[in-house]
Amino acid sequence: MPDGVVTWALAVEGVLAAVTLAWLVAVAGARALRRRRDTGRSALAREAMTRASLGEPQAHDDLAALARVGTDARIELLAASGRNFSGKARMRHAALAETAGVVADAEARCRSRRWWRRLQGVRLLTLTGAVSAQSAALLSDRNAEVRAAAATCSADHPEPDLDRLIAMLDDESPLCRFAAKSSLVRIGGPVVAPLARRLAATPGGRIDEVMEVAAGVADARLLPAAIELARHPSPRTRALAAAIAGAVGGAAAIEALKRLLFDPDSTVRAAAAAGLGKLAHWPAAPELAAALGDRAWEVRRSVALALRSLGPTGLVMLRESLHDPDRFARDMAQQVLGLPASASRAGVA
Amino acid sequence: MSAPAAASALELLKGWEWIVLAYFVVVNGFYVVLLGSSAVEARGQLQKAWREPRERMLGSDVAPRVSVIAPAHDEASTIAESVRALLTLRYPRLEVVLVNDGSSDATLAVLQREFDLAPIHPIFRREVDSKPVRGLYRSRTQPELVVVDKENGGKADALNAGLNLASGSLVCAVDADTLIEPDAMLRMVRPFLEREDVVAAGGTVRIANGSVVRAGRVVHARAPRTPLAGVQSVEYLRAFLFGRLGWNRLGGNLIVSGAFGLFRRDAMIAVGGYVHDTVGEDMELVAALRRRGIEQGTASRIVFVADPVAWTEVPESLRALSRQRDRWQRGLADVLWRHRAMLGRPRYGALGVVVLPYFVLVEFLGPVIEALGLVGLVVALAFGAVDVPFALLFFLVAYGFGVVLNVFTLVLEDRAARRYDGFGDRLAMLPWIFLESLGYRQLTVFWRLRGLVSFLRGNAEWGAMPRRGFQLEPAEQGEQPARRISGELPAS
Repeated sequence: MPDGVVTWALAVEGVLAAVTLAWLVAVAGARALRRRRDTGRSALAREAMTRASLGEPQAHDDLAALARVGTDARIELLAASGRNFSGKARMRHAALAETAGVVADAEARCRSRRWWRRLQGVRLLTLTGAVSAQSAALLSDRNAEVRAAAATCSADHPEPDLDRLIAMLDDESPLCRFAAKSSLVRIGGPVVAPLARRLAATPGGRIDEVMEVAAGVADARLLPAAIELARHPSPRTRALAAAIAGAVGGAAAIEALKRLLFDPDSTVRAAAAAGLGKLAHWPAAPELAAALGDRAWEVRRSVALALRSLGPTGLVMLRESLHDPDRFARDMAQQVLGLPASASRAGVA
Repeated sequence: MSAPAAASALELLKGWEWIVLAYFVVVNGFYVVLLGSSAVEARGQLQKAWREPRERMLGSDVAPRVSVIAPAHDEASTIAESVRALLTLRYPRLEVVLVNDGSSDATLAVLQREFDLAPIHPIFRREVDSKPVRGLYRSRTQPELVVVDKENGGKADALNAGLNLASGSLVCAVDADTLIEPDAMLRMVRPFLEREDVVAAGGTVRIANGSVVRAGRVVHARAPRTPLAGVQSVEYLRAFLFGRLGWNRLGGNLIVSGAFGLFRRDAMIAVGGYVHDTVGEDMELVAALRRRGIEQGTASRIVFVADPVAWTEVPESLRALSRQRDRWQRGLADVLWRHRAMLGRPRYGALGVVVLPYFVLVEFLGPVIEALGLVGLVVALAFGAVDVPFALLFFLVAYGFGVVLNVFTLVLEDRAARRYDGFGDRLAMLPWIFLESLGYRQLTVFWRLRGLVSFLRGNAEWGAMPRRGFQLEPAEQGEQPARRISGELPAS
């Protein structure tokens, strides 16, 4: 290798290292100076923001204090304080963000051609709690990150676009589906009617995602569709149907759960047993006791715990199972009967 | 030696030096590619993480449940603080499984006293092998804390016992003395939500030596002021931010740190959990997960995320550090040997044709080639086979390249996972970027070589590393005591 090449390489390395080091030091220095300058201003702005969010009349000085801190510091303050407020205080906090120009900034970012700017926009709207049509529009964005962020933002919207959120449960992106599920569960009550419609419609698409939301919301109006789906070819769907039935309860739910105790899939049988246990339906004790000798460990475990939660009737069945000819049934009964009360209270098993 | 023989020996020496030179060019060329990949990946992760409302997004019952498994052996001095820190992690569906691996000190007694443990008898299946469990406890004051008391079987065995008990679909393996940042778990879960083919995710592990710790949390991150901790802080940043981040786009990672990693429990169970008879159990697990996923067409992706940070204490004595590096090299050699069937096989995709060859050539054989290159250079200089000015220049280029990589690593740190905010701390890092390339690196080559020799001799010892605990600093009145991590690991 000629000396010239090595010399050049050395020179390039030297320049790169020197320039980058200088940049690092300059950035760190500038940051330190900015922090020193903003410390006092941020404290004043934080105070003003808290007063405004608690409903105290806004003084001209308060807004001026907020305006004096830089954009990043203002966003940081709004983000930090936004977590602490809910209800009316959060609405006032959103109004303050609007006054401070953060909402307009967010909406402008939402209209950007760059996906990460739109993501920033919708995230700013979420942290300020501001109501804007922009966030709903981004539910159909071409970028999955943006759609997911818009779904998260929707949960705090006074009138969320529920149909679009439910449609997002079929999204190609797992992140979008998760964000939609999480938001729908958090929204709760208002979701039930459109969710029941979706469950009653052709069970195509990603029905399990819809079922997970239904299990999270657990409303009696969702039960008929769930019982219908307890015959679905997918074991996961049937198990989720059992979870919904167990969460909602009622005669129809119990009948469905008893039927599912004989399902060919072990996860479904386990979910059905857990559902009966959750409902503490003691007349189902004989059916449950019969399932204590199931060939699948997770079913035996679920059945034994369900029997235990039935109270005296279940405990009698468990004690009888100690003499069961099936050694697996005997063993599981023994394990559950040996369970200290503290574990039950703590929800260990 | 006759003249023709001496001449041919010199020619041989020159030939060897050319091979070393070629190795240098290829490896450093790959480092440049890795650095570029890290920069692109860091930018993408930063854009996605910008002001993400994680607690809102993960604040419902559909969020995956996470079980943190922390094995502890003879850690009475630090265990209460470590567990408290784990319990204050900000994640809505969290369970902490502390495994007392047959401690001979008062670890269990401390836990009983501090967390009011009550015996429990949960029904669990021994899905992966572990030594017998002596007792199970749940805290009355912190119901999400489960303590497993078992016979001593080593770290892998303890993790397996915790894995059997864990109820989360995701399992986070940590060292009990690792200090995890409060929102790290919220950040670590993201790859699992983004893609269905992710089996494991790793976060950044940083050095806590010199930082101020209060209630099991690093409250004031400070750059290490001692040389050995300082160079290790640069080395860790380079390994995580420039190495593992870059691998995300170049075929995936082969390592998730045993101190801080998140895994899918069902996948861990499917590969049989942690292997007992290796000192590189964390790397072995990742290799097994990837191998099984590729062979069976199931999930096999390993992702590194830069911004979840965990802090750990590193050795500040040469003896303890040399033992650690010796063990790491033996672990690497063992894992590469166990999974040699994947090497160069296109069936395993980038793992077989890029990742594993890199680990064999650079991580495994690197110390051998570097040492032989240095010895060859000395001999060649002594016999006049190499031009001295050229050798000097080349040495400067090699050293300079290491410094440039370290400087760019600091840039990545500043952009992707900045923790040292003070101007003084930024400046304090600068000497270490020079010292890491000259002096420290050569020492690690020696230790790694020794590790290879130990491996070939069949040494499978873990090596004891008793910890002294955190050094107390004077606390302000009415506050919990603040602690500065000393990092001193006394020789056993």
